Amino acid sequence: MLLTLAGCESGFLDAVSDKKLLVPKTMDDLQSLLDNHSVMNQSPFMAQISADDFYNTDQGLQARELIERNSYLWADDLYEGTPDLNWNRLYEQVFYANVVLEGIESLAESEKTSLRASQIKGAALFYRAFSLHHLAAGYTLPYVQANAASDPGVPVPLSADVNEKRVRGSVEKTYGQITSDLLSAAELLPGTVSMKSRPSKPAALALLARVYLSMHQYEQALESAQQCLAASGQLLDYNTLTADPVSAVRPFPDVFSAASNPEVIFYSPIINVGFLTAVTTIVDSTLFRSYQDGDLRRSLFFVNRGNGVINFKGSYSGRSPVTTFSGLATDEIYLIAAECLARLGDSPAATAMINTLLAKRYKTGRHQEFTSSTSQQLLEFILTERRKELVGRAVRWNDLRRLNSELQRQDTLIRVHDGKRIVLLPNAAKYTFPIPDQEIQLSGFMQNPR
Amino acid sequence: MKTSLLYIILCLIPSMALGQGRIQGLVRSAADEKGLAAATVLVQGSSTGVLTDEEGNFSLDIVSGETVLKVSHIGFLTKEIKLTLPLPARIQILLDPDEKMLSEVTVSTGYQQIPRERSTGSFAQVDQALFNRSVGTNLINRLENVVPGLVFNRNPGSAASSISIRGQSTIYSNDQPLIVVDNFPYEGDIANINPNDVESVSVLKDAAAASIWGARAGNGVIVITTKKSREQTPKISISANLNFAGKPDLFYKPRMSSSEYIEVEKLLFSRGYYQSAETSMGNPVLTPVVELLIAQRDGKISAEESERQISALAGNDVRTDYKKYLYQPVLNQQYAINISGGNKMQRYYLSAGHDRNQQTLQGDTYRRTTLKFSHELKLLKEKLSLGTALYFTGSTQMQNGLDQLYMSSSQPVYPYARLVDANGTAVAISKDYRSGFISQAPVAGLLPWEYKPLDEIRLNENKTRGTEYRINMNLGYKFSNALRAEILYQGMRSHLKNTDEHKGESYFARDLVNRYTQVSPAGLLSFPIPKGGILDQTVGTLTSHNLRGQLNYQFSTGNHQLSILAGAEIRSAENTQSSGRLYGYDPLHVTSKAVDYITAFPQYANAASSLVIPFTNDQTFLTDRFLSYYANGAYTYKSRYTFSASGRLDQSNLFGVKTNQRGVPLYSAGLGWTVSGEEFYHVQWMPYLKLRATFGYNGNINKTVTAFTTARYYASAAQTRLPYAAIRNPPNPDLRWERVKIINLGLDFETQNRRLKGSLEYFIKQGSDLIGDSPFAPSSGITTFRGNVADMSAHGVDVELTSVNLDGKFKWGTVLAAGYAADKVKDCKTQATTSSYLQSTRVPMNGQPLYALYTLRWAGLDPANGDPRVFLDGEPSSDYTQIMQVTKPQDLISYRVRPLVYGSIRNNLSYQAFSLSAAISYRLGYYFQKQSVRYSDVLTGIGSHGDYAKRWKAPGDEAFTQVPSMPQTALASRDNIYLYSDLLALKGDHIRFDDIRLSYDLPSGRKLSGQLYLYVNNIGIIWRSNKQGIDPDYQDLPPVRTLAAGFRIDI
Repeated sequence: MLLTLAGCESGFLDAVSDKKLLVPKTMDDLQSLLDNHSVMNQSPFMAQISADDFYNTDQGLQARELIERNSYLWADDLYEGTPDLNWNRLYEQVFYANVVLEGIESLAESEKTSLRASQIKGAALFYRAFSLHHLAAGYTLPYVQANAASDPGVPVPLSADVNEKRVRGSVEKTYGQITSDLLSAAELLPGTVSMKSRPSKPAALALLARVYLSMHQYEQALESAQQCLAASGQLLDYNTLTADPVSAVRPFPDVFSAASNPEVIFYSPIINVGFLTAVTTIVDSTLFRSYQDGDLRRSLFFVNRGNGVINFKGSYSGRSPVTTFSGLATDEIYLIAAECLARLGDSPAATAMINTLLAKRYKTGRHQEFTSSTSQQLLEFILTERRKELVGRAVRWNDLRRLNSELQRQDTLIRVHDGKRIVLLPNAAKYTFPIPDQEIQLSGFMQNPR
Repeated sequence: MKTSLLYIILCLIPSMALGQGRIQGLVRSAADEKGLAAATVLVQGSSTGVLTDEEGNFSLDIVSGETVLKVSHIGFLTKEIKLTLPLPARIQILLDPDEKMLSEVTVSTGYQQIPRERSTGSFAQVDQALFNRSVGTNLINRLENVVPGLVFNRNPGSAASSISIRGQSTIYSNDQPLIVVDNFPYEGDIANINPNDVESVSVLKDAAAASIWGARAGNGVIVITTKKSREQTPKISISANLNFAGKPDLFYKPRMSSSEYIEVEKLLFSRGYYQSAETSMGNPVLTPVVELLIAQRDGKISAEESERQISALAGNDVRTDYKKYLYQPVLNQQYAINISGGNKMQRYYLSAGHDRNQQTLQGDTYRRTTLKFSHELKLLKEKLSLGTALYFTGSTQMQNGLDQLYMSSSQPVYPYARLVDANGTAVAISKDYRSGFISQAPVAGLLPWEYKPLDEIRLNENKTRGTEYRINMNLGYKFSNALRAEILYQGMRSHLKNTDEHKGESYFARDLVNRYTQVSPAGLLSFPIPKGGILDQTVGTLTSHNLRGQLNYQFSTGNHQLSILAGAEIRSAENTQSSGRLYGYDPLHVTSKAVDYITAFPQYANAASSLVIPFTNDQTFLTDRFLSYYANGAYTYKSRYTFSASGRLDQSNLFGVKTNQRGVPLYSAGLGWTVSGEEFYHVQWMPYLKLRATFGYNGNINKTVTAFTTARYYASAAQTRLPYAAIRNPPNPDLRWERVKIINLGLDFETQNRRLKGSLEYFIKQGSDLIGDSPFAPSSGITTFRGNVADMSAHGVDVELTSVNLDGKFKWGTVLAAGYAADKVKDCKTQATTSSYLQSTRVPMNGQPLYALYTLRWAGLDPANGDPRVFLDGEPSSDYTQIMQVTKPQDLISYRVRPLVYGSIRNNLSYQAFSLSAAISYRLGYYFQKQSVRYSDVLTGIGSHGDYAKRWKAPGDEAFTQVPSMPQTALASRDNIYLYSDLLALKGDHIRFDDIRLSYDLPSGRKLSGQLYLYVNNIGIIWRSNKQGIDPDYQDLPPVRTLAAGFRIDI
């Protein structure tokens, strides 16, 4: 009997202990990790709360979580010892991406060179860059070419080994990794995807444009934006949206439905916290007033509940359960291209670009083409339209950081809480979030000044 | 390795001598006619001899003619018998008990019966009388306070586990002892075993005792042996008992009173706290007081009317209604009958048991029926034995009771809720949505949306039916007196079916139907979830097969006794479960309706949210496989010196590890020395003294860690409906098995006339590579890492003393059990953060117990504002951010949360047929964290601890209170500084009067004997260290005193 047992040992013990478990090895396994959209596609929420598009009432703040309240009030101690879900989730995404990248490397030689393997690899590189760009935008100083080599960056893990020693590195190194990942991803990714939760070549180009813009590298940003628009430049004419009672609550089509929003390039919702959808989260009144009559965005983006309560409802997530879209969409790329063209001195092209976009935003026949006398006016107009178009997408905070470096475009933000005025000056240290407490304690990284 | 093992076993088979006479016989005790296992049968004047088998049988080959057999057994007088060959038949040898000697005890390891005097390891034995001393449905609970070193963990902070043997030696791996029933590990629900079928329980505590169980023995082993028939005339035994308990004391834990709660609601209302809920699109529920305040603000009712209604509400306490309408007295009935009998060739045992329990919540009942049949057959001149046992358990658990009611998923019901009105009719409580919204529902054509808790008890039927079948078979063949081979098999199939039926009128069903109701632009209603009941079903099946082949070799000659066993075991267990839901369920015709699981439907109660209909269909399929090889041997010289050794290799289908990580070899060795057997030993007053020493390793299996990256697969992502996977474990190439090294030193003694006997054991336990969670820098991608994080070492003492204080007509005996176990974490590879130490008792820290409470040093309240303060750099501080950032984990004050010393004292008195037994237990040397008020809960309208009333209110209050003032806004860090300070670490030491049992033995006639008894349990604490009157082991609900009465009759 002993001998019999010895013979069947290996097969007998190979039975999988739980059929739902897997050691990710095959391309299907690796794809299924990337398809975990509730991990991989999430964007951080602090940028949305800290910016000046929305304000919240004192009463409303009482109901918010500690980290929401503190990032709204630009508190000195942002975390009070609690974990930062944003940081944790973003590095979890990097970890998943690295697991997939290593999985691709250990595929059989014949599989490794297959089209599918290179597309999965491209997707993993895109995800890693997507997470790192959020981290760089939150936890490092705004990109300034002259200081990039010396300003501390964020850790850039390139392997799935959780025990590997990590350092903060420099801003240059962080951005260098993001752009090189995206350039490779753009080579590998397919032109179109069946699900907008999956990265595509236009998504890589769109993100590249966004990242170059925040680096003030307008030529590269323009080039990426133009390539992106060439591949996926469709705009949604807001006049085509029907207004039945259901879609009035969430006016835009579901990202994953058959009649999807053609502008969505890559789906990413903000990590859902109460602030995003609370009735007490009210859009800035000056911003609201800047939408003219005939501007469809006024009724599609906002709901006026009376008593000055104007809430945002225009998420490109559409009818999906309460999620706020902060992914990549064509409208943002039009705005990046227009801004770069204006900055690079090609005013006619910039004007054409912004007019193409706005034509789809006004009631048919109500849009008046913009014509400018000076290039400065044109740039101001584009930046104003950028803020109006991208409200609620969590890009405003990074725009504030970026534009603070241009004297004439600096903004001072003000909150009133418990009767007190809280001021955030341009280029304040608080434009850079502190590294979370756990990370400092366990990694010994240098903390950002506050 | 396996081949060589087999070879060794074959070599041990002695050559069979031919042409000799054979004596076959049975050695029995003259006292109770029980067969005596492991008695030595020697041919005088030669070195030929054998040991008797488990039932006392032996056979011996002898040269010829006249011979004298010398039969000896510990605890009995040695007998010499003259025989002339050939013998006409089997002989029977009756040995008279040696009153002076230790009574004969054999312990079962699940693989063999070992006579206690030849064991080296640490065993604790619970015999039937002791086991049946307490009353109850569950078998394990009867072991409380009767086994030295076995402790029931009750302090909620101390563990998730219920029992531990000699303290804890693991952090996050399985921490429960292995339970073995009739030779095989028991995988089912232990509640399925009828306690009346139990013959004896042995607890294996050290490496030598438990290492035969290898990788699963790290937490000790509890071996349960069920009853079998002995060769005797038919016997019927009938027993029954009733166990009664009152309702629990729901007012034991202090809570904020209704009026305090209402005061806070008024305060929050005045600050506009409820505004966001009021204006929210989701119509979230508000309490009746808040609704009244809103109505008053909006001018719908007058201030007087509002105040009148509010003060009426302030007089309510929902716990009164809980106690009256949700609870009921416990009444447990237990009946058992067994019949046994047989003859030389075959024996049988048949038993049936039935339990009917009315549980503490109204609507909860438990019924269990058990059947057992066992049969043993001996053939081929008793060389071949075949044993069969069949077990059946059927149980039904009804769980319709309600205890804590909730207003929403995160908020318990307001304390002034009423469950009935003045006429005793069930009334609704505020639940899930605003009352105004709910009252509109029927008008709009929806189902009524009210929640009346008392009606719900009968509108839901949550039933769990369990059936379990087990079959045990063993086939033994005796090749010679020395060598015996056996094959054992156990098959088990247990089937568990849970049906949770929510009738159409139940809140659960109405709420779901309403939430998904769609309103067309024309105002027409449609119901994506059809009206009717909802049936949730879960069906689980556990199937296991165990097969064991074992060779036993016993050899005895003159001064030498050798006993060896070796075997291999293969086991496989499959656990499948499937669950699902039927919508629109009609129980009358058992029909259900189709629903659309794909479309996201806008929610009636919150138009901004669209949800798909909950899809709960799921399957799980788990497989456990083991392949083990083991050997165990003991050699005794001159009945004085025993050397034992055992080894085992376990391999299992661990997932996500390399092939060579699937198994672990473990071993042990031991020495025993009966000092009193030496010629130089002349201590008159202590005729028995034995020393034991063992050393070895046990293991512990952890299936949650893997060497490779593993992920869990899911069928459909929420939005894309694509299959996806979530990473469960990061790669851990350095993964190692947890091992526990145990050194055990024991001393057994007995004084003259057995006035005092007992054992004293000292042990050292060293756990290495313990698997634990350590916080990890989040930039790695994970926030906690589960791996081999620490080692631990523990040492302790187990003492058991039995004394006969008075003998004669009036008897008085005392049994004292004491345990001491101190453990310490060593070589902890990771350092956690201060806040993780404060929040958890299970994060290892070097030099501290595995389970410890970590606190900040309390510095009193700030006299200016009542803020809590702790010491920071020697100064009182209320800078909460700074405190958490500056305080290092090693600055925290730590307290042990598991008793250092624990045990029980049992006194037994008897006078003629009456016996009285009373047990007290004690737990010393540990702390618990007292609960107190958390203002984050107070200021979010959840309510909190009753210490709220004692809070600091004005300067000067700090002289008589340490409860912080209520802050303006909730601040979690401020709450934590107070709740995690050493102010609230209280000494847990206490002595508890556990139980008392009074019994009367019926006058035993020739055919009848029996016993009547009364039993009272949970009598109460008789001394405690803390002055607040808190039961350290039960901060929420103290155990309820139970009273039982029963009888047992043997015919």
